[in-house]
Amino acid sequence: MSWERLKDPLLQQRLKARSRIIALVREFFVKEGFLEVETPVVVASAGQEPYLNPFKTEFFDERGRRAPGYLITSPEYSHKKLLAAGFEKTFEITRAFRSGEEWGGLHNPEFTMIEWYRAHADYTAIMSDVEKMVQFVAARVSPEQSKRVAGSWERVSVAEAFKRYAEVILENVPDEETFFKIFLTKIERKLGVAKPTILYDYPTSMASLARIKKSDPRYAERFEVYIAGMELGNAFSELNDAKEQRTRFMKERALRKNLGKGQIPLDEDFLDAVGNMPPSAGIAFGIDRLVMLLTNAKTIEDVLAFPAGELWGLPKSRG
Amino acid sequence: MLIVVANLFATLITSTTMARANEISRGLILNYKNEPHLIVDFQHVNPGKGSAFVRSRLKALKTGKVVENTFKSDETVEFVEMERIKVQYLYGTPTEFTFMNMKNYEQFSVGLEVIGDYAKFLKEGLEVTILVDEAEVPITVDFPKKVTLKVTDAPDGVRGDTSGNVTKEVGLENGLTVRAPMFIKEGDMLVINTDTGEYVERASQE
Repeated sequence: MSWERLKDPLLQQRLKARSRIIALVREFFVKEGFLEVETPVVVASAGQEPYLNPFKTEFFDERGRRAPGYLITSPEYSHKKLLAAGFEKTFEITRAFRSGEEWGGLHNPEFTMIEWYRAHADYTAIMSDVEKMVQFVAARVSPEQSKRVAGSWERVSVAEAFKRYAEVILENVPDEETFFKIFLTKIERKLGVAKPTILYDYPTSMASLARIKKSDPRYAERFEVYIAGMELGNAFSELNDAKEQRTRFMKERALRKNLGKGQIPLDEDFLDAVGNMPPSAGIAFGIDRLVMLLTNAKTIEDVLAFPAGELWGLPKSRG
Repeated sequence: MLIVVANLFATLITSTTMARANEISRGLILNYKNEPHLIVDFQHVNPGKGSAFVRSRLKALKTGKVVENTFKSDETVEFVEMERIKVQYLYGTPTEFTFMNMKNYEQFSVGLEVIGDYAKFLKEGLEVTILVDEAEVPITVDFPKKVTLKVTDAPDGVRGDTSGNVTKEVGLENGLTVRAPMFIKEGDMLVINTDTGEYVERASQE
């Protein structure tokens, strides 16, 4: 744990590349007509996801009146409110915070994410955005990585990936635990190796905030981006049915309770906005992991000036 | 001098403790499919906002076969207690490796079935842990994830781009060769990952 770690010339090189990468990402979206917005990092109602652990905080006003708050695990809720209000193309490069995950490897409790949203579009438009953005940035930063992300990316459905890499019929997978065990052991590392992979159409049970596919209700219009076995982004055709969203929230709250986790207040304003949103699509994409990819970094700490381990000095969880 | 004939695995009476998969740590032994396995590597993963899992690489003690398995973080696993002896590497041949027990200074040798692929990372004075069974027979080595080795041969690289992507092959003090960044020169101390054989970073001068 020491500031002297910053003297490493290779780390310094990567931090300079990081700065160029973020500037290029921003340039891409501005050029494409997206509006850069800033949404709160401290909110009254965090996401309901049963397996995410938001940082809890508290603040008080000038009269000492206290209010509990949370650090965002994603700026999604605010962006959907913007979509409902008529903002058609927004993006934000911001920090997200998740407790209870590994320090190092692919995670840092505080990390940098970009989210962008398109009104009157579906997830296929976002697929095209990701391809173009990564290619735009890679071409200007790393000739080596540029070759790797060039051309048309592989598009594989989740069902197809299970068949091809695990020889399993997706419909026969009984629960989420089995899904992930198979996915993590046999499939994930094979994705995005020769060229990036867009893994699309997740089972409805794993829809998260995505819309169910009208042409096949077994699946939700959700995709993830994999490059070199690493997940870089998670995208949806956004659910814009307030009733369905409330039902999903209730299920998540029940699961949170079963897991012995605290209840997080429901964002009623968000639920209202969801009902007023046009059909839209959006994505959450990891900037730190993009920098890792483009600078050949092996762990997220290699692209952070001050990874959590340096600040708290806990033993690194990876051997 | 105690020369051990390894691989007498016979009846292994060991004590076990139940714990959660997210307590997995490198070098521990756990029972996987009823066979003791050394945890070679692990990673905590939180896939797509899903629940937490631990991805692991396990080496079967009996056969040396490496398997990958993903546990749910709160899944129960059975850790096997084995006696761990801290030793220091002295010298060796390609098939026999002599260590000194750092508690009682006794010397003993083990074969490739204990050291396996880690043999190429050994250097004089390196401290490792040998796991022995109830009969004091060495079964396997708990090798450090990283070793520091001195560069003995570093050709001058061609001046290429400074993007950090360009590497050259360098020779290390124990005969191992590795690809390292262009700025590495003879005398530098390099940190090497013993799972992949890859350069990690230049060791800080201490």
